[in-house]
Amino acid sequence: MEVLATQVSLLRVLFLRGLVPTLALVPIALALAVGVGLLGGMLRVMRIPVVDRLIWFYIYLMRGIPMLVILFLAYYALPTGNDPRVAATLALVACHGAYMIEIFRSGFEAVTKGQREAARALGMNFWQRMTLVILPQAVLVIVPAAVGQLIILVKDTALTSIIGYVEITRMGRNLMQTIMMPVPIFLYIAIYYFAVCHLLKLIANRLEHATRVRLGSTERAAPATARAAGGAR
Amino acid sequence: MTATGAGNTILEVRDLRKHFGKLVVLNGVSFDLHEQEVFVICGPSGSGKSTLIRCINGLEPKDGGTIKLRGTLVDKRNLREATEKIGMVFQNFNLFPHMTALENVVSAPVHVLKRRRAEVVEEARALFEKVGLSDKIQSKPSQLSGGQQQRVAIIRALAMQPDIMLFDEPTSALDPEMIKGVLQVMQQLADDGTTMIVVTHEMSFAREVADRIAFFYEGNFLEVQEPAGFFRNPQQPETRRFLGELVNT
Amino acid sequence: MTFEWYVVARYYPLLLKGLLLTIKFASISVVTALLFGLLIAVLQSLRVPVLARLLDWYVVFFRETPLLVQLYFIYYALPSLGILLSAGLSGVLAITLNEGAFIAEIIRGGIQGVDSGQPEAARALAMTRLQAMRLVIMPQALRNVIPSLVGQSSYVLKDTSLLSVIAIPELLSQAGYINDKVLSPLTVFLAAAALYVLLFFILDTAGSVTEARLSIGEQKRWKF
Repeated sequence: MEVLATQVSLLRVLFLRGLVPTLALVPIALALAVGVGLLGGMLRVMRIPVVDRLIWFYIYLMRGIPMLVILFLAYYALPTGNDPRVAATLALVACHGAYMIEIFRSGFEAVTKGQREAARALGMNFWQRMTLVILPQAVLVIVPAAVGQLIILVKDTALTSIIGYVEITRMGRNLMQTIMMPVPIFLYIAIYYFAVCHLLKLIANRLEHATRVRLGSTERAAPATARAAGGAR
Repeated sequence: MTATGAGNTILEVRDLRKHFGKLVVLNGVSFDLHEQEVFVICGPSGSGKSTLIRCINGLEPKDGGTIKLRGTLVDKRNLREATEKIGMVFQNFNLFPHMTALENVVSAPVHVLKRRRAEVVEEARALFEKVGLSDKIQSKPSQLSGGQQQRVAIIRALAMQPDIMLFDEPTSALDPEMIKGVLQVMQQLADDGTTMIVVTHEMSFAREVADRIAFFYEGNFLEVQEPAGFFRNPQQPETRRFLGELVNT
Repeated sequence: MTFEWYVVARYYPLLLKGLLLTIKFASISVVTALLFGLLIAVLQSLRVPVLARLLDWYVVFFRETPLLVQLYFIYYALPSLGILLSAGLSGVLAITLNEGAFIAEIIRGGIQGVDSGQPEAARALAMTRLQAMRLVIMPQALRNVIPSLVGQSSYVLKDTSLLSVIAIPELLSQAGYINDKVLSPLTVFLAAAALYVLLFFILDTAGSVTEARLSIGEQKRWKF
């Protein structure tokens, strides 16, 4: 059947050429954003006066400036030679890194005061407290929220198509010039994103359930996650 | 009963002050602690007893006064090092929930004191045996009762081989049946010659184990005596009222 | 690359025009999204047999696909199916459907957060389910989620920037247009960013004030 054949070749073009760049962007951006979050979260928890204010301001800006504007700024205004890949990565890391900082900070603060005091009373320095006591417990709160943030990051990769990054949405738009079949094109694209995000959502739900089971009576962990994740949808 | 405070002065606190905003919590507190002494502090809630010992090991920054441990002044720079020598047992145990009981006890000596793990584990096992929890070594805190958790908390502090042990109302968060077990462990420690400061409401413990009992009232020591004198012949009217209320509860 | 003030001086009227249009679209979309989300949440909570299931799927799908793709679909694909909408309408529709799904989730969370004794008491007073919803549950649910809803409005604001891709002359679009003429991207996009942050500041401050007003009487947050 001709209709089926065209659909199949449509899918082939969209996914074979569009899938890899789309997916490739995510792990790199995620890893860097998590790095930013970990570093920034620790810095914020240390409560150094000037540094804390600066980080707060950076987060404020990232919350207020639309992702598309950040992408344009990264593309045009930075000496990256107008490379969409670099610009896209930079923009995603800058914006989502900010949200990650808040997620990590909430995670750290979810660890009760008594834990920190016990660690200090045993003579542990900041680094030892962090790695031995606080991080292991904070992770339980951080990971579900981080996966939620990842979902938003995946959705944001669609925006990178606008600065020319060749990913699936861009492929779709290009295809539209040649094949006038916008309905299936965008439907498939939507389904692709939905598949990835829904999978991540299921993972996040599992993790959140596991967290509540592990922490038990630590009700305060839940509002911390909600507050951080809710700030980024 | 331990030997009476004939040992050297191990801790010297002079004119310790602390305020929260306008509220004065510690009002120029001074005292000496002697080696192998059991020093019990009691008093009404909110009088500042917890704040006092939290200032001694630096959990609360002090606003004035000096603390000398074995003759060395404790200040911001050597505070962390000083906490290696001061053990603390919290009212809420504060065991690390993601570690087993053994790991809780062994972590600090290994990472902070940089001691060899095998050695520390062996010592830890002996401590677990001493408090009757040998079978709980691999348990997580969530699997232990309150009394068991507190006993683990005590040997966690002991594993650092501190010069003095501080107890901040160690039995206040425990159900009545479990209090006895913990107090027994503390009595054992006293018999072994551990230098202890204990903030508590458990007057029977104080009577049996303490070398000196101090009544803390509104920011300072009001009365310090040996148990016999303290209970039979309290000098201050506030002390008498406090003891009277305790009898009634 | 430097920030060129003369560009701002010369072209600020255009930027302001874009700003105004952004505000207009954001305002309309916020209202429509709120109403739409509210409707969805109520219908879902009432568990109307077939509809509730369909709405569940709608919410899930629109939350887990990008707004851009939804926008493209409405603007480029719907015409093939016979539905031809203007750019402005497409934009508002896309944002409404997208944010509406998020708002529906928020409100539904608020409804579930209402103490379970409340609907029981309403039932015991012989109220119909609709009356219980209207008189007892929704007022409490909404009071719980107002801070979150105010937060969502800043997302709607940021969403309007996507309308630039379907040629609506809002703020970002104007910035791009100016850049095409004077080739000063740093200037125009920083200027646009600053204006967005200004709007965000207004929304965020309004949100904090609302939250503060509502929490008078609630517990203090723990200190670190």
